[in-house]
Order: sequence, then C-alpha cells, then structure tokens
Amino acid sequence: MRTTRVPVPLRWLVAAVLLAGVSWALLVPPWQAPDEDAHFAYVQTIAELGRLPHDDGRRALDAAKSTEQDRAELASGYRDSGQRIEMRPQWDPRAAARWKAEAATLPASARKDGGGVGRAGGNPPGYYLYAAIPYLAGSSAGIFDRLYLMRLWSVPLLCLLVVSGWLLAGELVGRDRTAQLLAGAVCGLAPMATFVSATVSPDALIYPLWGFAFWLCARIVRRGPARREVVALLLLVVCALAVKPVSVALLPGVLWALAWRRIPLRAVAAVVGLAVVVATLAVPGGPRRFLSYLWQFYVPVDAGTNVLPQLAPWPLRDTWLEGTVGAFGWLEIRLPWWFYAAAAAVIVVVAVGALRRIDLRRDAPLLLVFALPAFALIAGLHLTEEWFLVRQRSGFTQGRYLLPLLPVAGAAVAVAFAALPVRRRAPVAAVGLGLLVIAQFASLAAVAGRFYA
Amino acid sequence: MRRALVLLAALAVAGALAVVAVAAGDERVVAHAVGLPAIGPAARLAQGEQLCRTGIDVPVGFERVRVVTITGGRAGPPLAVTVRSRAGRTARARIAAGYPGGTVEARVGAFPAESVVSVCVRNLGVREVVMLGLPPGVLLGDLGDVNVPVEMAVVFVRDRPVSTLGQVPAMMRRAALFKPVPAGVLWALLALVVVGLPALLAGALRAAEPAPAGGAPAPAAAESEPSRAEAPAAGR
Repeated sequence: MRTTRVPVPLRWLVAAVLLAGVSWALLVPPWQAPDEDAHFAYVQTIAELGRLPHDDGRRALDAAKSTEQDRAELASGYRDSGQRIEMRPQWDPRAAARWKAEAATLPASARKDGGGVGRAGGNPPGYYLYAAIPYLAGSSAGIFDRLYLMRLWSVPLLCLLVVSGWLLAGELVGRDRTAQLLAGAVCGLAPMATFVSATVSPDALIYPLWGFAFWLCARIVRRGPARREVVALLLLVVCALAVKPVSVALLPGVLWALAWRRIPLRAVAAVVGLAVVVATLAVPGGPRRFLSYLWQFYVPVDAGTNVLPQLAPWPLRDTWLEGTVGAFGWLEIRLPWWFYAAAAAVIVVVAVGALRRIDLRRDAPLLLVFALPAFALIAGLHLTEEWFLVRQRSGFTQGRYLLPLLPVAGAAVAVAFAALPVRRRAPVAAVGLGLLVIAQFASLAAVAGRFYA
Repeated sequence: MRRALVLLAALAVAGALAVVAVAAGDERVVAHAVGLPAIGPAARLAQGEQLCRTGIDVPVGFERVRVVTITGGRAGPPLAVTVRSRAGRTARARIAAGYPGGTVEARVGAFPAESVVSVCVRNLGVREVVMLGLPPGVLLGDLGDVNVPVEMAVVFVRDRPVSTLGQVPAMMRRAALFKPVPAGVLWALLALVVVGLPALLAGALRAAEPAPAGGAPAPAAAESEPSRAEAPAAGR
C-alpha cells in the first residue's frame, strides 16, 4: 500500500500558517469581521434549535439573533463600534465583569429565541454545520468561548487552503518544492485570506474547496479523467454549492475539465459571448446603465465624481485591490496607500512573469480551467451588484469575494518563479516570504491599533 | 541558501522595526468616545436649555471633552460643559461663542481612569445649537430599522498624546477582554508571531530549496505519478 508523506516544507509552512491563523482568530474582537454576527446566529440556530433559520413572522431584526447574542454584542461594545473607525469595542474590565454576572442570570431560553432569517439566511448550511461542531463542543461555556472556539475551528480550513495551493502549483510546475512553497504561502499568508479564514465565515470553507477543485480540474485536463478524481471533483463541487451559492461559478471550469477534448474552443468563445450579450440585455436597468456601471467601476476618469454614490470612488482600486489585499474588521481598517501600491506592483510582476511562460495554443485547455470560473465569478458579482444598485440602491461587491481565486494566484506565482535561473531562486523566494511576513506584521498591527489603542 | 535565509530574516526584522517605528509615531489623544460618528441630531438647544448624557464608563483618564455641533452656518453660541463623576468630582468649562459648528472642545481637568461620568451641555447664548450623536447600541446597518433615540456624542481627550507603542501593555489587557484567553497568552502569541512566523518560513525555505551544489532544482515532473495522457501544461 502506498503511503503519502507530507513534504517537509509543507509541514513548516502549515505550522507558520496555523500560527498566523490562531493569532488573527484571537486578536480580532468578537464579531468584528464581515457578517460574523450573522454567521454566528446561523450556527446558533442550527445548534440550539436543530433547524435552519426561517421567517417565523417576527420582525427580522428581532428574530435574527438570540437574546444571549444581543446582550453579548451590547456588552462587548460591538454594537457601538462595528464598522465605526472612530469607536472602540469595550475596554473596561468592569464591563466584562458585569457581562459575566449578566450571562450567569440568562435563562437557557436566551440562546433559543433567535432562529430568524438574518443577513446570512440565504446561505446553504454547509459551513454552518461544520461550525456547529465547536459550538456544541463548547455548549456549556459562555458565548464568547463558543465564538472563539468556532474561529479556531476555522483555522484548519486555512491550512487546507494552503495544501490546495501547494498541490495546484505542483500540478503546474512539477515537484518544485520552493515554487509550491511560495504558492502555498500566498494562499495562507495573504493577510485578507488569513483574516477571513480565522473568523466565523463560510468563506473560510469556500476557499479550500475551490482550491482543491482547481487542482483536480488541472489534473484531469493534464492527465485525463480518472474515475477517482472525477468523483472527488464532483463531490467538491457539491460541497462548495452547499456552502455558498457563488460556487456555481465553478461549474464552467469543471465542465470544461471533464469534456474539453470534445468541445472546440470556438464553441466556448461562442457560449461566453452569448452569455455576455444575454446578461447585458437582461440585467436590471438595461445594457446602457450596466456598461456605465462597469465604466465607473474600472476606469478612474470619473473617480470622485461617481454618479453611483453607493460605489467607492474607484472600485477597481478601493474594492478589488484594497479589499483583496487587506481590508479588515468590517472592511473599515485599511493600510497606507503605498502598501496597496506595492502589492499592485508585485501582482503585475507576477502576472507578467506567469504570462510570459504561457503558450496560448498549447496551454489554452488548462488556462480555461481557471479563466472560466474567474470570469463567471467576476461577471456574476457585477451582475449582482447592478441588481442591488437598481433594486435596493446599495452596493454589493467586496474584494474578499475574489479570494476563492487565491489558489490560482498562488499557482501564477509558482509558474513565474519556476522560470527563474537557479542562482536567483533562493533570494527571490526569501524576498517573497519576507514580504508576506511584513504584510502579516503590518496587518496585525493595524488591526490591534484600530481596536485597542 | 544561507544568504537567502539571512535575507528573509532581515526582511522580517525590518518589518517588525517598521511596525514599532509607526507605533511609536502614532500618537493618540482620544481616550474614549461615545456616539460617533455623530450623524444624527440628539437635541436642538435653545437659549438656556441643557442636554446630558449620563452613566458613561470611561476606562481611560482624560482632561478634555469634545462634543459635535451644528450651528446652521452662523457663529455658535457659548456653551457650558459640566462633567460629574460618580466619585463626586464635578468640573465645569465654557466654550466661547463664535465657533463655526462641528467639533468643539472644553478643558475640564483631570478625571482618572475608570470614572463613570455624566456630561451636560447648556446653551448660554441666544442662538440655537444642535448637538449631534447616534442611537446607542445599534449597528450602523440597523439604524433605519430601529426607533432608538439619538444620544449626544462625547469624545474624551487627553492633554498629552500617548503613542500606540506606549499603550502596548494596556492594549494586551484590552484585547483579552471578552475572550477565552488571558493577556499572558496574547503576549506569548505576540512573541511567537514575531519570532516564530519568519523562523517557520525559514525552515520551510531551507527544506524546500535544494542545495546549490546539487545543481538545478528537481525537474518539472508531475507531483506523484506520470501523465496518463498527452495534455497541456502551463509553465513547462
């Protein structure tokens, strides 16, 4: 029987990512991450009531969270400081003591009177079932103990993301451990990924599921479909769909991986073109408005005088770049502008390095494995945001929604790195890892400064 | 390889020192705040009228208070600011007329950390002034769905700024509140991250990169098994 040994560099890397993940999990104050309060409430509904959240006729705001969570949010200062950069969570040890006394008097029913549809109510239960395990394991403990147990339980998912990035890079560049190390490090130590994966959020599970799906798709395209891999891929897709509906964007890449030998490239181009035309015509507000929205999203000419005030001044920079590289808390914590400029420069260098190694005619089948889901994801986000802008007059898109593509970014790093001459490999790898360390230090410090200084 | 490891260590040290330098230069005067961002009217004060916010736990010592006003584009009236602590200390200060609206500040003298105070603002002038604030205990996203009255924003300010670096021990204590770990664990984690993160990555790099004497890195072969089919491969 063949045994699989975990490569030594991967072990070191996973240990580093575990350390970073635990640090993030314990640093961030309760619920000070995007929608973490809503995700916690979803898990509490499953664990305490044994059912999914649903509309029970009460006012949504009253039914979304339990009394226990409501009181804990007030006591910890989350209610008064969430999304508000000017405010701090509760610093006062007397408030913590008061909460302990209050929590001791709460009846058991205070955990069970939530159950309504909150902001996370539209998500399938996949991740929440996973997160219910630590909740139930800590059910005799206080609400904050349960919350932090759930966060720590998410950190192994970050390690799985690292493994998926490692494997995908290995599939593309071969047994090049340093290139794989860099790919895995990008997945696990890109600050936004570490932050989100160390909170209670279905995104923490989506990232590795997409990573493994990309890896299996690449394997199937390169080596042909083996039954075991096809079954595993289909299972991954089902799991991803059970975690977040956005995983439907994986389907074009999966279908392509399974059937690429039978589908001419012209047919793919025709289907994509048709989808673009149909989506543009069918989008709420009409094609002219949608194109105007895209113009304002990507082109900085209108920056600052945006006719869509729900959007950031220049969403390409403010949402895609900053929100993907690092926007913490409820996205209100940003790093200095030069940090993002440096990150953008690194992204361009990596992209150019990877693209130079690509022969479109030879590599098109493999590239489409990544390009089709990426296109579907980005197009879907834009269409959804346009729907929100027209129907609810609010924005929608966030940079973190692009992070399921992080394993592909890691793979691009690996592909670019693998082309380097031997004498440059070690120093370039050291610089890459060093920059990730600096990014982690800077991000952790920014979060600590925002909440505790 | 040794040079690469030194390079990684140097970058980590540079990153840590840069964070320390930024924290040392990041001086903060705000000790505590309630009711920010001040975007809703808490009260419109006519001549002689007063608005109070009571029972404010202020965990850090302060010497000044700020409130946020709207004066309708005209010069603001004089205001009397009174701060009373449960410990029995009362301080009064006056904000002179003529401010253009926005944030105004009164020096009330030293109040110690962990005071519980009430802050009252009285309009001593003739013209009206609007005091701004926010409903307490309501998430920004829920403001449209609740009917909680707006309470006046109050910002408690130190006379002398304190650097973030100087606050690190206090930050550790604050960070441990409402968490299942004591401050000591957070200190240990801080040390582990600063030293351990680069060390673990250095270990990974050393294990990954073949020694230069071995020549070129391992060939670009498949991870674990040969190809079953002729197929494209990026970056070969």
